[in-house]
Amino acid sequence: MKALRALLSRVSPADAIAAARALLAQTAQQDILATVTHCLLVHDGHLLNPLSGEYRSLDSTEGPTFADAVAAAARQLLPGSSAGEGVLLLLPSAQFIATRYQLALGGASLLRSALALQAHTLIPAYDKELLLAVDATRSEGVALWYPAEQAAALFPAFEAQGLLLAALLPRALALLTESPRAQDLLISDEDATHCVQLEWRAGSLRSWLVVARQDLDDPAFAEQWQTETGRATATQRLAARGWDDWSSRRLHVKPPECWCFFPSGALKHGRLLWQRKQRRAAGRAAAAALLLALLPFLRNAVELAWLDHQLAELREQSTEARESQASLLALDDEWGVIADYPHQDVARVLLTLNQYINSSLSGFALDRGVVDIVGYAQDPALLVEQLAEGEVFYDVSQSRSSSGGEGGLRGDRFGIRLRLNGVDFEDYEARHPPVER
Amino acid sequence: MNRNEKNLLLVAGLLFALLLVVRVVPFVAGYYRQGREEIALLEERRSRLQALTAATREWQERARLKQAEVADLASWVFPGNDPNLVSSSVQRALRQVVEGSNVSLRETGVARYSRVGQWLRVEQDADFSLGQEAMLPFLAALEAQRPRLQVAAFSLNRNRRQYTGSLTVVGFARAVPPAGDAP
Repeated sequence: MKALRALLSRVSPADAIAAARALLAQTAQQDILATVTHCLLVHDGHLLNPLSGEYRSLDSTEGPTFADAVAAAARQLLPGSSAGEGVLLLLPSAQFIATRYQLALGGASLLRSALALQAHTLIPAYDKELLLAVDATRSEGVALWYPAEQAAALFPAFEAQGLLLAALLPRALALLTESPRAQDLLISDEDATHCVQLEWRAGSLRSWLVVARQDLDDPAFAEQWQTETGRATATQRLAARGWDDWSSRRLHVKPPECWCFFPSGALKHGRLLWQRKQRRAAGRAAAAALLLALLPFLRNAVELAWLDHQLAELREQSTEARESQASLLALDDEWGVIADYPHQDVARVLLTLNQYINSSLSGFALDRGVVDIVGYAQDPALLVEQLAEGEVFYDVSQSRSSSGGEGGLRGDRFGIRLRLNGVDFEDYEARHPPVER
Repeated sequence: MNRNEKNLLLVAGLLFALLLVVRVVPFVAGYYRQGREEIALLEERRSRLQALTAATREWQERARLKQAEVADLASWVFPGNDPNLVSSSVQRALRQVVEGSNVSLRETGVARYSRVGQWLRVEQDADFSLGQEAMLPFLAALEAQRPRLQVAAFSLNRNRRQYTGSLTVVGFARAVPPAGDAP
């Protein structure tokens, strides 16, 4: 919790927003790079497909600008390509501007921001907006720049040809594909007008030297070029010294993300791709949530269908039992009036009473389950208790007060009311109500 | 989209959310609950049917016994469906019981009859007197008449060596002829 608080206190909202933007931009770049399926290379007025070796001359293609000419040539080289297949364009290395930097800054976005802020002092001769490509994980090395305007012009030109220009890459860096990145390399890229030498050491770009061929005619310049290029310590050399080298290489370029330049249109397309991906993910999440929400209802429906099926089967299986039951109920219903009539066995009642009242009963009345007896007993209260304990009667109570009689020889005169067990006329008449005539 | 449109959209969204919470969610929850109740009902019905299926033989046996019982009962039912004739039959049956048991019939009342479902119920009162030795045979004869004559009420008073009493017996006849009988 403390660590979280400390982290939150260190990160300001502005930093968080900047980080989110950087993350979004990086995601857009990754998404647009993921679309790259074709690679084309510009060399000495030609556009070459380095994988197939097929090429078109940029002079022969129609177009008022370089961007239009490259796009038209690209269309000719990639006749079957759709708008969803990204194109990586490898431009002459000399068209890129290189600056050395040494900044002890933590964080890739911070380093990129610092370099972008210093752009006008690092390259004072160029006052237009520049795109930056740098391995921002290194605190020192070389940063590459490319005019944003030219990059922006290329995207619509490709778009007009039905092609998606995904990214631009200095041509020389395409040679990195041929060798492990960790290896120290000295890469030379030469064409009719320029010579470029770059040094790749310990996985990062350490120097980027460019000279125009016509300047090398001057001995002073030539000597300086020799001196500068001679400082490189890497011994392994990769060289593309002309058209033949490039056309015969059959390069399948894997674009290094940090060295790619993304036209604003490509980034926009990348953001669209990202949004589409997000929408698709949101759609999937919504569908999953809907499915989850529907699961209980689905379960109900399945259970209901299954129960219906089982009930149909059970109804079929229980036909005989139901018929027997229905027949029984119908007979019960029809004959219940007689069969259910409460049975009052007068003889049994009298014999039971005789066990407790030895021939001293003077009056007996049984009416619909209620028995009233009158007689003499030595202890009427004890008699009530004895009758109540038996199984034949219940609800035994005295119906009149006891009184001594006939000199006390026969005991006290009593009156007791009791009910017969198992005889319930009220229930019978409720089930079979009579209609009086 | 201008600000007003955004506000309208927001209000519509809020209203939709409110509707969702107040009406749709309770409706859906109720629908789910109703489904569960229906399932519980069907499960109970299934259990009943399973028990019924398992007890098929038992039900068949009970139906058979009931048919036998009904066949026996049918022989005890008073014939005819005219209340006066049935009343006479009940009186005659009672008289036979009384006379066969050495009991003096002092008075027979006017039969009362009522209808219970498709049955005609006839109640017949009678006053009698008897000696102590005739008591048990008389009661046994009455019991033997069940279910043709059912005892509804019975009273007995001792007067020296003589007993006087009254009783009410009930007999049944069909109020309407059973289905299938010729008129």
